[in-house]
Amino acid sequence: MAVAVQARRDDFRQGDAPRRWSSLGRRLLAWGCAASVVGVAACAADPGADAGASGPAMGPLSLCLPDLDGTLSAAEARGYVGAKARVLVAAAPLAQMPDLEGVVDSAGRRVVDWRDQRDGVEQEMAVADGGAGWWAAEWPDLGADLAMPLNGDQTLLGLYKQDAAGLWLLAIVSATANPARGRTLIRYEAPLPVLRTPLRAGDAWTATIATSGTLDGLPWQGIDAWQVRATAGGRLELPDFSAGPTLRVRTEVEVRSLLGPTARRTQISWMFECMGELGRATLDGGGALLERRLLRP
Amino acid sequence: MSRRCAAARTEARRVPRRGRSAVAVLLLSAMFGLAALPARRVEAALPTTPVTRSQETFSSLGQGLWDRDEAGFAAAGLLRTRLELLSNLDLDHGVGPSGQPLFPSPLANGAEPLLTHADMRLRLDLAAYAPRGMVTVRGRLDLLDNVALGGAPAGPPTASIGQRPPAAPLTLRRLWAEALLPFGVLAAGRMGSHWGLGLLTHGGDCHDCDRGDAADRVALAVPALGLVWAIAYDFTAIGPTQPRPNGSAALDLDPADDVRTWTFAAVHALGPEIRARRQGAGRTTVEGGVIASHRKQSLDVPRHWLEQEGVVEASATPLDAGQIVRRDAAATALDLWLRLQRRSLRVELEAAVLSGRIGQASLLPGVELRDPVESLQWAIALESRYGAELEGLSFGVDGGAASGDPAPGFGVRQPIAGARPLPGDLDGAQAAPPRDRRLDNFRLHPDARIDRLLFREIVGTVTDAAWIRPHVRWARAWHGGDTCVVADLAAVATFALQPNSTPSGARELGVELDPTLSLTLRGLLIEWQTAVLLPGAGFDNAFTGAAAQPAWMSRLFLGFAF
Repeated sequence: MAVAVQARRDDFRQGDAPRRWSSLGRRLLAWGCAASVVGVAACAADPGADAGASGPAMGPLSLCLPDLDGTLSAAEARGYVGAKARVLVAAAPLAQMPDLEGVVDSAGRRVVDWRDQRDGVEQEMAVADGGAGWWAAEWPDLGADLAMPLNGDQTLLGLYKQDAAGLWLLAIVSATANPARGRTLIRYEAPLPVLRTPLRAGDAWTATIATSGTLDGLPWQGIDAWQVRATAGGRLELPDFSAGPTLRVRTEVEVRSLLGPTARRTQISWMFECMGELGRATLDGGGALLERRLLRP
Repeated sequence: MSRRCAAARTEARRVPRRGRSAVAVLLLSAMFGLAALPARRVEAALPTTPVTRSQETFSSLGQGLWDRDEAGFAAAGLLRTRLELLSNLDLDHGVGPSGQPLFPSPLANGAEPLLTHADMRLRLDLAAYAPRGMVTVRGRLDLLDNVALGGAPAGPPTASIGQRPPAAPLTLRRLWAEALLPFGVLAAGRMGSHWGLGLLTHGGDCHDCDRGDAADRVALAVPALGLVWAIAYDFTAIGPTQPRPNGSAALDLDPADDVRTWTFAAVHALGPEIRARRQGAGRTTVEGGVIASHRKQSLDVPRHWLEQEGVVEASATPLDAGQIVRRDAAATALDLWLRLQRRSLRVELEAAVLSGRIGQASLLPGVELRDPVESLQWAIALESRYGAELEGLSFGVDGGAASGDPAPGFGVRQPIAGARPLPGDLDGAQAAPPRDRRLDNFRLHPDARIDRLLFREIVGTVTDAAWIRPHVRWARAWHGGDTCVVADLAAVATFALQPNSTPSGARELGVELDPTLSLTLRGLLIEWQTAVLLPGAGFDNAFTGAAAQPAWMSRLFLGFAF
């Protein structure tokens, strides 16, 4: 076993590209998932949504109603422990490529039509208490409010803090303390602004924050560079429902490992008041579609 | 038969009441996830006066109006207290998959599974009559309605020498007026609503009832061709309002978001006195009627009523057009009621069907679901008795069924933002669009009771079930009817129509025995109600393997009528 572990470390140090890309890809998927689950809290407002089932934080006042002011406020983006969401995930190649720009109809409204985006695998994601997992003993001072799945198989969790200024990514951890592929325990040197609130069309920000810790049982050191820009997204037509006006949030993430090459991803998300992320497309560094996700009630 | 005793023994009365649109309310409220509504016949343990008979059908409009020289005033009331023992109503089931028990248990672990309760209520029915018999104004007040005795001690419990007054000691349930016209009776105001056996809408007038429907209504009843033809318009919901600039009455801010209900009825009902005379003469009496009620809503402002319901926090931001959502909801209910009395035989039947569609079920402004939520619900109930109602031995068989929905749980309580029920849960929302767009369980009004434990207490009301209820009664009156003793025994066997609705997936819900012994002394009614429930396999816990265990209750009812 010790030899195997050493080999994995050596592989990493020697720049095993596929392995690193895999790891980076998993991390890049993270924030989008987080945004989806944040939206779950608001999904409860929809009669078709399944939220707050057993979540202790989902009280009678947790239901959120959009005011359609085109701004995503902190209350309209708030996540709750116990909230759940169903997400339809499809990896490229897709039967139908999603429209990423939309069209302007005769009334001058932008419409993004994803009604034909029905392929993929449905996954359920839930929000857990960010301060109550196995990692709490490692970082007693972390101050995380929420833990949300970062990847499809939910083996990685993002630990977040939320406040009036937005949603902040504090760390990435394995869902379990001793996973077969090795423990992940990566902490950001400063909270990373995944979502700033209130969020309006035209808002943009950048963040470059160092990370360190353990990735799949191997030492990790790197830097995340984020560029986020929000524009008016129009109305998003999904297979089960439509919502709008949305905010189209384009996020370009560059993950630089101190021990290897740099990975880039672009994510385009449609955010809606009280529902969070409704749909998302993930592109590689060359602009090719890697994955499409959308919210199902 | 003693009339006084009959008046107090309200179980005997089966009088069709005023039809209304709550039928549609029931459907719509269920679809919108509101709390369940309605109920059953009204049988006040009060003297039979025009005041207390105000809940009868459209045909009873105008009762008490006759030519009088001076203004008149009438009042009747009942003060009731109920003392209860409830044992093992969770049936030793444990919690369901969502962590909820079937029924609350004592706080102390390991204690005897016995819960106690005592409450009270004073109900006042009032009527004022104008001179010359043209107009009457009526009302109903409930004081300390179902207030728990000892529930609000002043100070530390051991040192308390009194009770804190409730925040709302008085509830004005009804207030309406009737005017006699040359061609009929016109009524307007907030009036009680009841029809037939009370499956759809129930006035809650029976002495042990806890709820009751009231409609903000304008109604006109016209007698013709041996029937009473009635039409009613209900101001069911008008949405957000705003005071006028001069500070007087409020304005309905948008007529398009109103919920409008129209009800038409045709009924032939004779009333208890005529019925008794015909029975005494050996005549066969057939009564009956039909109501059709249609409800419609085009737009909705969910924030307005969600704030009122406390589901969302009240916002300081004024309402604007952005809060309007398309609703496109419509529901129609049809209800047939028949009553046959021939010598010692009485048979009464009610059958109802509701059909509804909510074109847009979303509560979120800006969000629209692709498909509508639809509903088709039905219920039927039959009651029979052979023998005098309140003299000697009589017996009969009751039965009925109420449609179910295949979603888990019975669907009595359907929280607005609650989670979907899991298989094995007792209750929960029956529609969950877009995956489940059907809402087909018919919920009888909670006061339309068929038992004392299973549906009344544990499930909450009758839905998704079929039942058969043989019963027998012995009654005796003395002193010209001033004193009356009645002993009842009923056995109720119930089955689920949709096995998915029960905690275990089995259809058998159980058998319940409901004995009653009551004594009426002029205005005093003492009634001892008991019940034993032998639960069926439907209440077994499929996850823990625990078999449902028997439960029992005992209730002492004291009623003081005037």
